[in-house]
Amino acid sequence: MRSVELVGIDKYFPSSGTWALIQARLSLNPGEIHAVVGENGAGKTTLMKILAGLERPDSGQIRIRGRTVEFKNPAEATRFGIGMVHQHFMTIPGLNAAENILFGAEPRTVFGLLDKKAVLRKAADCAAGYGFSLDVRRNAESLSVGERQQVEILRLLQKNCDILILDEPTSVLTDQEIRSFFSVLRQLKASGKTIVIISHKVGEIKKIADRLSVMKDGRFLGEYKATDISNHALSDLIMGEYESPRLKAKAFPPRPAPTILEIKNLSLHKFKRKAHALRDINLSVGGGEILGICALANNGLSELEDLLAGRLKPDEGGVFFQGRPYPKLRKAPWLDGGIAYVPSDRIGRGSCSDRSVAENIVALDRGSFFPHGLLDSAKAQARTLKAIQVLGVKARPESKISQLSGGNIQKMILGRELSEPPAKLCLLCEPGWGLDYASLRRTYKRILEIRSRGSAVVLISSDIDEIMELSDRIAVLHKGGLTGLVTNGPGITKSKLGALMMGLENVYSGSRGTAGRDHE
Amino acid sequence: MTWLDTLGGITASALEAMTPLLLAATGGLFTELAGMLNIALEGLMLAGAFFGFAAAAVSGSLLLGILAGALASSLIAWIYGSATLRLKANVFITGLAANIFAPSVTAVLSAAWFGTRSVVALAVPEPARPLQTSLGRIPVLGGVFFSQHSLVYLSWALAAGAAVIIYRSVLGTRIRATGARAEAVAAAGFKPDFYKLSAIIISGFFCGIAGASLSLPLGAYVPNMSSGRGWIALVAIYLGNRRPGRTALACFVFALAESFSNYAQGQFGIPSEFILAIPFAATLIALSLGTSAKNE
Repeated sequence: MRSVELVGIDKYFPSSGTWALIQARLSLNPGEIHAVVGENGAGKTTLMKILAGLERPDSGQIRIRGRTVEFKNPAEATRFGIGMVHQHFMTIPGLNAAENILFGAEPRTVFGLLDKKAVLRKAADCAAGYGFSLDVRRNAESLSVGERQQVEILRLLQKNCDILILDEPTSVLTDQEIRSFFSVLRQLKASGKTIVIISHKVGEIKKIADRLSVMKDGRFLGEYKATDISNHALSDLIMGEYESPRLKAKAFPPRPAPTILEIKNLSLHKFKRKAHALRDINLSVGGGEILGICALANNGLSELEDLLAGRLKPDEGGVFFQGRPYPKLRKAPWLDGGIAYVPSDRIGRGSCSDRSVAENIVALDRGSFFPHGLLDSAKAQARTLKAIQVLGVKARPESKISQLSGGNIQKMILGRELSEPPAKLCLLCEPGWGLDYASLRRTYKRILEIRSRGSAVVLISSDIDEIMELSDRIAVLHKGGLTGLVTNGPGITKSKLGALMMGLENVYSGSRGTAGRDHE
Repeated sequence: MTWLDTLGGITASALEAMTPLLLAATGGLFTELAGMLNIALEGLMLAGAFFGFAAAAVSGSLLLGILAGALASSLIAWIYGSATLRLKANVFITGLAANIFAPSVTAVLSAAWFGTRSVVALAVPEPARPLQTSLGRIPVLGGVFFSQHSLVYLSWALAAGAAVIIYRSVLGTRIRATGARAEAVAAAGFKPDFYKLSAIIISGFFCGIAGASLSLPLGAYVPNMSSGRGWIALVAIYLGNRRPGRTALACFVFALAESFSNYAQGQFGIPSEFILAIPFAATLIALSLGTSAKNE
């Protein structure tokens, strides 16, 4: 018997005026890892929210182990053993990992108070039972993203959920965390759990899933055994046609261009109790050039972003924009087209979640829409529509950001920052985060286009593929210092960059000033 | 009088002045942890002061007075909370409404029941000083800590009880979780609004007793007698980093400022306007120092 069957599910969202699901379906076998794949906005998350009791379908049936059910809320779905781990984790700060895991089912003492010892013991047993190496006494705030994910999964297991839904579980994990996450999944499968993974990463899915269901534009396209379908064919299905997002930048002949951004002897001594957050960084970027900067987590990448975004002040050295000290505000009039900034934190810094798409574009854009102190609404509207079109944001201008999926928010921000006319300097941090293949391709195309128009692009990313795909030169940080500044080309491989990122090698000449712009 | 006696006297009256502050701040701690800024503490205290005093005057019982104050204030808090949570009204507007409602309803009822809208002074039983004849005989310390009236000790017990509820009870854990991440509480199958409403009613309960601890020992109800203590309590919560112990400490510092300003009147030949501003100035200074310390 199928453990779950969803049949003929329709769902309309009046607020955005879209059909999220049209006759969608899904069936799960007990004890399998099943991937639900599709582009951003294909309806994967909505379908899974319906299964988890978070949304109610307009029509259609949910059958659990052959029995037709209706869930009014997540608790009812939990009673049938269904639980969901959301893309944005729901760990509760202020409680420790154990209290988070047992939240809602805490052991109590005879006086009705929390039995803190029993909470710790029970959570530790649960973690150990499924082979998680997690210290449950730690505070939720101190946990890494991967550990938070473990807490979320344990919370469901502890409630005896045997159907686990994971929404884009790998998008927040590092490569190493993904490996251990996959071994956790295999272990869960071995203990008889059914696992659903929502994803748009074809390569990963093929590695872990037994079967997969493909969705596009709210419809179910088909169900396949992972071994029966090639990556190529799967991508074809997801996107309608196959085209590699990796455009491989045509080697752009380096030409002498005026330096736009210059980082001189930059050091940041103490940041969040970390000594030497950044050490003696010298970098410069000229017009028509993409400088990729990469590092492993906690090696100074986020501090460098904050410095370039003007949120931190360096302790030594400085940053110069066309020879002048870096502006406090990226809208300063003398910036001449300004600085485009795509922050790595799309929800906190890139957008105001309780405002509309239009307001987010107009209020946070580089340009001004207030020529005489009053809003020029025609200009603002034209700008909004243009920014939405750049990457095809699936939303109306008046939709609230909080109603958009993560990928759509990222597209809105990219559209706003990369639209015409291009900024002199583009500071792009993790631009490909959460994007599907088609959008990624368009984003990369647009970034290369902006480069060829003479803008300087600083690409800060922890995604090595992205760095290698786009950069003209690549700077590598390790423990806050440069370990390499190399010209991108055939000699630059993943393992070479990996060695630099881990500090195993250091090819940085240590020379100062403009040596970095030397194209040999 | 030696300097030691003076210091002891100031500290002793600070502990008395701390009582309403500590109770209001403890109540406000619940709403704060549930993720709401409760600006109605001031109005809730005033309601507690009036109804507590009226009930004690009519019944002749101190305990009934305290209970009536707590009950009346909880009731107003319940209305305030329901308007905010169920009717989705803006929490600042409803809080403001509660702050305006409390002094006006007490003025109307004061005119109806006692025939005056200004100070009502009636015979109410004076709170006992339970330890004065035993531990109170200890030199200096006895005068400071053990000669207080029963409401002072009650406030300590309630504040300690609140700390246990916040950190060790299921209700407290849920309230804290609601403030930290309401979606997670909802995802676990609970209603965040229930915990928010609980927190508001608990804050009303504590503020009611805080108000009663103003009017009952004085034996009178004075319009607007809370005189900004609800706001100072909010500052104390903030300075106390939303932790019960540190909040109590902040309350003590403010009470000390108040008691010092009472002592200093007519001592140094400084105009009393300046002296009376000491507690508020202290609040301002503490707030700016506390804020800059937090930003370090």
